[in-house]
Amino acid sequence: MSGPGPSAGSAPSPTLPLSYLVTAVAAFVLACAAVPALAPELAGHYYHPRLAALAHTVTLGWITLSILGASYQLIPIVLARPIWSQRLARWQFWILAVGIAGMVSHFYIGRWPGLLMAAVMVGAGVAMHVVNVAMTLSSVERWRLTARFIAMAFTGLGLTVLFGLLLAADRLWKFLPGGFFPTLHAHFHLALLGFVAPAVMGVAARVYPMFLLAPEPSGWPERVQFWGLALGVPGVVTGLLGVPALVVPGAIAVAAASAAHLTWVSRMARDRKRPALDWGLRFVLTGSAFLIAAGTVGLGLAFDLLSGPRAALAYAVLALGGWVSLTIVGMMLKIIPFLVWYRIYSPQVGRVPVPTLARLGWPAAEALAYALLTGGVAAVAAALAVGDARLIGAAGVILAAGALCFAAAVARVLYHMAPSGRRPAAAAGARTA
Amino acid sequence: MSDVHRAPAIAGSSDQPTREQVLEALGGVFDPELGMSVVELGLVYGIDIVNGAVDITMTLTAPGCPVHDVMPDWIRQAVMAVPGVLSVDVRITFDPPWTPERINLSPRNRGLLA
Repeated sequence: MSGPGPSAGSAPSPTLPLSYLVTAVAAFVLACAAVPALAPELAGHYYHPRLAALAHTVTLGWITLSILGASYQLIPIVLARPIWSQRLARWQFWILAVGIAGMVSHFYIGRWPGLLMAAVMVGAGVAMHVVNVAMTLSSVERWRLTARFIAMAFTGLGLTVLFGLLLAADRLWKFLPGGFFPTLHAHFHLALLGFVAPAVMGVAARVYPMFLLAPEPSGWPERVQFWGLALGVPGVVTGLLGVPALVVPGAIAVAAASAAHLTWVSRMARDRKRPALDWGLRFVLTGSAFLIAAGTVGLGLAFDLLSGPRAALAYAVLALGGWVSLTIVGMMLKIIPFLVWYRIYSPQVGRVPVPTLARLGWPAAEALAYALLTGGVAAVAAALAVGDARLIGAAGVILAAGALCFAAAVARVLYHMAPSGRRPAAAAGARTA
Repeated sequence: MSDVHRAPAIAGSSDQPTREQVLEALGGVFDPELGMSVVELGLVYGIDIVNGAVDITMTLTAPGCPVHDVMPDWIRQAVMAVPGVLSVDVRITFDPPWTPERINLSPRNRGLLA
């Protein structure tokens, strides 16, 4: 009742979101393992083909696949509407997976024609998702905050991918006006603030209260979150592209949205009826705390108090690795056990004792992942700010170890899908009917 | 406080299931994620028993709740095990909507919310 899962009469097969989420976990492990391997490159300028490969492993392979997979699971809950087409979602997965693998590999070897072809595949996959979400949203009668954020997020995703396609084509034909780096920065911020931020805030609006057993907050934080992004993202992106005067007001609006989100999350954490936090919720709340650091550095960059590739890389890691990734890890530790439980144990309820979701996981691995990933993200951000390859490598090893612990925790949950991995209920409270 | 605590006592013959028996059975239907029963979560709004026919009105924590499809079967399985129950009808309502204030933790479950 509190976990995410199929909704009334609309239950997507658990294998649909699982295919996205498991692939995303593999991309996360690959990306974290690449940090120590690419430490010399990371100590230099961020515009390097291999770093572009690393960045897209994170943004497309890990973050985008996680959000798309989770959206197929969470949209029926948060909107109380079935997904328009599961078949389209399955085709979309394979197109995206091949396209993302192609983009990352062509970035890595620096072959631009192949990159453009792979980017076209990613564009097609994203277009299929946008159509699926748009058709689902078309039946929504009441546009609550989450529905508005989801519409904003997938508009932002579509524009980000279109922007990326233009950048990939520009590598071959050089037709875009303006400088390359402002355009690149605009692409990054459109992805982070126009797609990922509203996706995280929108899902949080409905799912955090369910997990924390807290009242759904309302009032000014809700309005400031939405309008801060709605006004701030166009300001930042347009400002970076050619109207510099818009960067600072845009950044202030985004910072206000972030502050409202943090206020709202802290209220839920304070007023929750769930006294003990599992590792998934600790990841989510710690991820939110990283937003403070990311927002501070981002404002510093917007106000020209900070500049250069060192600050930019630290900012990217605090935002994508800290806020976004830790939040996704936490949500996955809630979603994946439910999907597995629903597929394997739900049909047995009332016939035999079945375990609770808490008994499907591996708390020791989750605890170790929490310590290593939170420490690793902070250490990598600090090492990037300093620009020392040895420090970046050492911090990257911590991060990679954390990613492996997280993958092991997920694998333990997935093992329940094998007949040898299933277990009976063994503790008080484990009977479900 | 859940409405179930304010429901009138069921008067019946000795072989008719009682409200307490039905509540005890419902206390064994757990939220898989929270490890709390539907009674402790305050999801049960009302219980009516007439000649062995049990009508249960309950809610879920949110519209579109993941276990919406399967919860009525879980409830039926549990309550049909009560001696004297001939049929079980489960009605899901979201009016009034559930809020966390309805949670009534038993001492046993205070440590289970982990």
